[in-house]
Amino acid sequence: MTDLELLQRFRSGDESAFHQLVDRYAEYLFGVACSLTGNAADAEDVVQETFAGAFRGAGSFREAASIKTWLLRILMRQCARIYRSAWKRRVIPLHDEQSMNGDGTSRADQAVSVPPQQTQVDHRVDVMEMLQTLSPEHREVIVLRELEGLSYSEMATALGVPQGTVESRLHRARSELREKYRGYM
Amino acid sequence: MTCEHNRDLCAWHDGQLGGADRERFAEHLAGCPTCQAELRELQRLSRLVRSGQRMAIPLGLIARVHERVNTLGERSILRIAELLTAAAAIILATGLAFLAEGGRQAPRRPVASSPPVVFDYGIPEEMSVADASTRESLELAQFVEGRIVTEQQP
Repeated sequence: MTDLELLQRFRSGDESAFHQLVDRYAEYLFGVACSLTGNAADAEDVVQETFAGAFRGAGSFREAASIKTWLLRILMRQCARIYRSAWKRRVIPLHDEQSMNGDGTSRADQAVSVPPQQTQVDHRVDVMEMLQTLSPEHREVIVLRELEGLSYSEMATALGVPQGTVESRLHRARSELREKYRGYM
Repeated sequence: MTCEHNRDLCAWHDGQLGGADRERFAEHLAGCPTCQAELRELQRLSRLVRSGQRMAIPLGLIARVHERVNTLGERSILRIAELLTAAAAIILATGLAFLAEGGRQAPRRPVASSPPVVFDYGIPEEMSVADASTRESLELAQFVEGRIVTEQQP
């Protein structure tokens, strides 16, 4: 059964159809949410609220978009809520202990030059942390394009912006990343 | 990066150029060292970002989402029941208020005090509410027949 058929069955009163959508998309949405929020706790919160929002708003789904981009659209709004509350809290995640310099400044905020003997594992951890140093707008386009492989059109739908905006944000985000990653590239 | 085809380069790298635009840019790329260098940078950047560590989904997360969905389903049923109960209460209160108002304004006619008035067709005025529609039909028939009689007269 296609995603759309499942949603239509749910709209007709079959709640088990919605549970099937959860099974199909929970892990995928968690991966996106994790990349965007930078931690598992916030990512789980986002995923919970995304499906809650989809459950309540299933009646308003316009079949012009795919179920995936519709869920991503809801997820983006939930992530924005997390960004706002994180800005208010301004808490540094616990795992960032590794990324702190001895004087208390964050290593991730600097464009670092990595010595050749840096391990592959450290590369991966630093990449994800550096994504968190991007603005939410830049992080979103990088995650959706580089990690999730969405087309520009799908990204525009998920973000609720014109395609031209997607392209210009992507260009600026990549320029910013290249500055931060100069030592890694 | 100074080449004016920068935007096409990103779209090319992302596989978002199609048809004639793709062919046109492919020709340009073949002869533009600036775009070629920029393309290599984009490819390195993409590989690096994709090499980032992905966090595994926590144990039990999907089950917790299912539980949340179940709770939402139960709440929506309760909400519908609450709305129906509230609507029924409003209708009942409105009906009682209407009846009370109607009782104050119009005195009741005693059933046996006034003699019944009979129409030409023997339709008693005092009919039950259930017979009201029948009475209207008979009165209409009476009216129609009266007109017909009127029209037939010279």
